[in-house]
Amino acid sequence: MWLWFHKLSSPPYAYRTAGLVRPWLFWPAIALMAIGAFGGLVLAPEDYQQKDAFRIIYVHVPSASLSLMIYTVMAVAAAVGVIWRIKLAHAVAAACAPIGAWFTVATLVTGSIYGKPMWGTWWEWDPRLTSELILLFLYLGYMALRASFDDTQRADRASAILAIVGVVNVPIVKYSVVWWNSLHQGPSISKLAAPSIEGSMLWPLLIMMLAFVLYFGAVLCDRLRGEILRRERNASWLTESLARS
Amino acid sequence: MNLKDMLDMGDYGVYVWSCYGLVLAVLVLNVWLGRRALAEQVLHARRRLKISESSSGESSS
Repeated sequence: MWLWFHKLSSPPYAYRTAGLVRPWLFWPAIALMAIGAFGGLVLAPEDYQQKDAFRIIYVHVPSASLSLMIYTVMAVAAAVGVIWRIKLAHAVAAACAPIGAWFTVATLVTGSIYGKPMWGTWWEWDPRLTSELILLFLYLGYMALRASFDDTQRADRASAILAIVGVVNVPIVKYSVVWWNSLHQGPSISKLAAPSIEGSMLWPLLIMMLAFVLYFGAVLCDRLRGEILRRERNASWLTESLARS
Repeated sequence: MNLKDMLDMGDYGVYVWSCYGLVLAVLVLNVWLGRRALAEQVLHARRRLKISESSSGESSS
């Protein structure tokens, strides 16, 4: 297993693997999104309280889950880069950041639109919303910090520290609805208890969440390949790889 | 559910469809930005290789 891990940390191998894997992530993601969206918009019954407005959860919840997941991936990659000095790990972290930021924006905006008919307000300084906004600032701060250094190594180190420290916000976002009195509804899906959401409403949500994860993997492959090319400026393996592509 | 019901979403249509539209835009944008960044880097890398090949060709002649 360590041999595989060591091989994966080689830029040419990662570059080629990302190119091969991408279509196997992207097209199933699109198919699952179509199925999940159909299930959520057409097949799921309306909610007894929220009526058809609840169908927003089929894009809001996957975006929110993904924003947290991507930050966690980014922080773990940054930690791997700092501890084991694997440059590719920093490339993964750098590739994750813009994708995560976009999904955090999507979460905040869809949440705001959802909040207007349900809570009567576009925004509330509620623990969940506030911590998700802080997550967006962390993503933007990470990207800004990277951009402020000309030297890639220094950019990697500084931004890695920010990513690692900022990961404390992820459980705060997740458990904010449990720890504090929140306007935002509590968790409907739990690892330890039966879901509080009806089955016919749950399956499209799970499919959409899986679809978004696969989609992230596909987009990460593209971003990572670009990041590897940017870093491996004078590497000899580039000649052969670019001639083939 | 007919098309009118789908669009109305029980008077919540504006909220529901604007959310779906926004997320679709984010999905399309992320794919486009990722592919564009990769294409730019491939172009820069090819240019660098061409320059280094032509300069190594000049030095050997």
